[in-house]
Amino acid sequence: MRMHSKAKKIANETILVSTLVNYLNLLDYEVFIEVPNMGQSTDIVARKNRWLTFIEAKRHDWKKGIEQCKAHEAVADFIYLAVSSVNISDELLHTLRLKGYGLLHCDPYTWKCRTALKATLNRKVWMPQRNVLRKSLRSINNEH
Amino acid sequence: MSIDHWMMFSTFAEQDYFRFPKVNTYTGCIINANMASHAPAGLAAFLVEKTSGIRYIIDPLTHAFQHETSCITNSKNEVKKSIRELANNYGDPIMTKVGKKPLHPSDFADNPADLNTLAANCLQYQRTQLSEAILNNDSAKYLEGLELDTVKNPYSLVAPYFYMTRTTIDEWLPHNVEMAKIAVSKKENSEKVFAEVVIHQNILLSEDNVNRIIMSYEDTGVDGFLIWVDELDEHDSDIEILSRLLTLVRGLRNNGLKEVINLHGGYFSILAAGNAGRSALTGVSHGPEFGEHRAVVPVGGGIPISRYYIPELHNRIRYREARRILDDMGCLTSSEGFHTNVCNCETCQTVIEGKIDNFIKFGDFTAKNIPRGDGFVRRQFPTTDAKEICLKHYLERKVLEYKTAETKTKDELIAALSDSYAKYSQVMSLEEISHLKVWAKIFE
Repeated sequence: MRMHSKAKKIANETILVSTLVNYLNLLDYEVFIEVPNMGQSTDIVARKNRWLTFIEAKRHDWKKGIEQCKAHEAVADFIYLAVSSVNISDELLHTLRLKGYGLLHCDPYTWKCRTALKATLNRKVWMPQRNVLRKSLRSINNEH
Repeated sequence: MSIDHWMMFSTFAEQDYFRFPKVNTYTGCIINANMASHAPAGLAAFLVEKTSGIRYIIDPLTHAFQHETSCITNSKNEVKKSIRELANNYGDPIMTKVGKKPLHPSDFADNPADLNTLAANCLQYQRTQLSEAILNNDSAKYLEGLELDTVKNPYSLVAPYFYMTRTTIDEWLPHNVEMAKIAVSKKENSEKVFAEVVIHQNILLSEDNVNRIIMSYEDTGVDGFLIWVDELDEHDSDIEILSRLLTLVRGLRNNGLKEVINLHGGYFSILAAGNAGRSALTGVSHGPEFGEHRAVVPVGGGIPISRYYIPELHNRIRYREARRILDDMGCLTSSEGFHTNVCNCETCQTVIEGKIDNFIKFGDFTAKNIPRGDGFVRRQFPTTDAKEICLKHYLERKVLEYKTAETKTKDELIAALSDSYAKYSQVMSLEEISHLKVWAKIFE
């Protein structure tokens, strides 16, 4: 029997996102949630100095998360997928490595977050799009 | 032979595009009967003043009465006003059943004369609904004789029709054919009468059904056909479906004796109408932007997304995807490269203005907070300017496509598809570009 079976589980993506926000705050990031980017909404954008890190949070369906990450390549320096699964599949790690995306893992029971895989610097940024994104970050008033 | 370029009229907000890039670009417009009954004066002004007398056809939309009643009722469960008005014009059995029960083929069994009444009323509605409004329009007094006749009368009348699937064709086809015959017998003067063939894609899976439709209509005496295959997206359809569509329209064309217009077609249909398809269609219609395929039962909603029409893919792609594809292809490094390799239409030249960074204008969004659950989520909507330039670029490319399909040789058209396939396969998945290969194969 699992020791932590009575602990409160991460029940939805909103809880996962707020758990991640706390984690990123501890790492001294400026954090924005629900950031619009080219008609799509990014769960979290974390800024430190001039670097922008985009994070898509998924409790299930990490493949959809990776699909959503694709659009961030035009604007993000680093791209992460965040999951709250019990285990991390080899297939997920392999796919992320191929794309240069990183992985943030939140334990669904202890809510502890860690960087399971570091993202590599994305070199596909298109500056005009990035400038639009920077401008829109300025107008977002949900900084956490 | 030139390909007739028709456009579907959907909202008054789009009416200016019927004279874009210039007046007389389009052969005519298709107007849904519910729109004609909802705003006849507005449509008359559109036809006489906005477009300087564009030709029109009214789709009588009789299929609306055969679906679940929820398709034609509003949120208060009342039949929509324009549909009620149509039903009153069409008479029984539609008038008494509307909003209560869907119309069945058996509803005509008790009184076969009802088919006759429906056909007569339906034609009369199309003859008078907009022409009377046009006569009442102030600008119409400046039109005389033939010119007035051309403007005020529909290009062709359309016989009433019902939607057919593989499981309902046995019941509906005889009625549809009968109504087409009756409609022809009620033609006046030099009027044309078209039949409208509205089918589920599964009809195209059976060669027998396709041949049956062709043969059934052969002796009706109609002057032409409007075709509408439910939700047929030419980009996602396989060889079998598209080849069968060609068989159907070629059969209905009857060796070039009849006009056949695809109501919701894309570049595949345009090719079919041109040299590649040896004029299998006489015309193709599409909406100003969203109407290259359409479901018979309307589905609405969703957030509008900015899409850029990539000319060589003959497809509208979400801005974020289009940007990525063009960037991966190296087309977003200079304006010259962009105009050489992607598009040099007037809209693109005006938007880019010598600075490739301006491509971003096609994906200009504005953020709004949308209520969701207990709170709000931020969503982006394309700005009016972004929608407009995406649409203008699309319409310019469409005009070019019609021209290309009627002027280039079959070999040149097929080679262009194969070249695009090879070019874009470097940066796109096969699913996204396979339509180019499928279309080339069909026309080979």
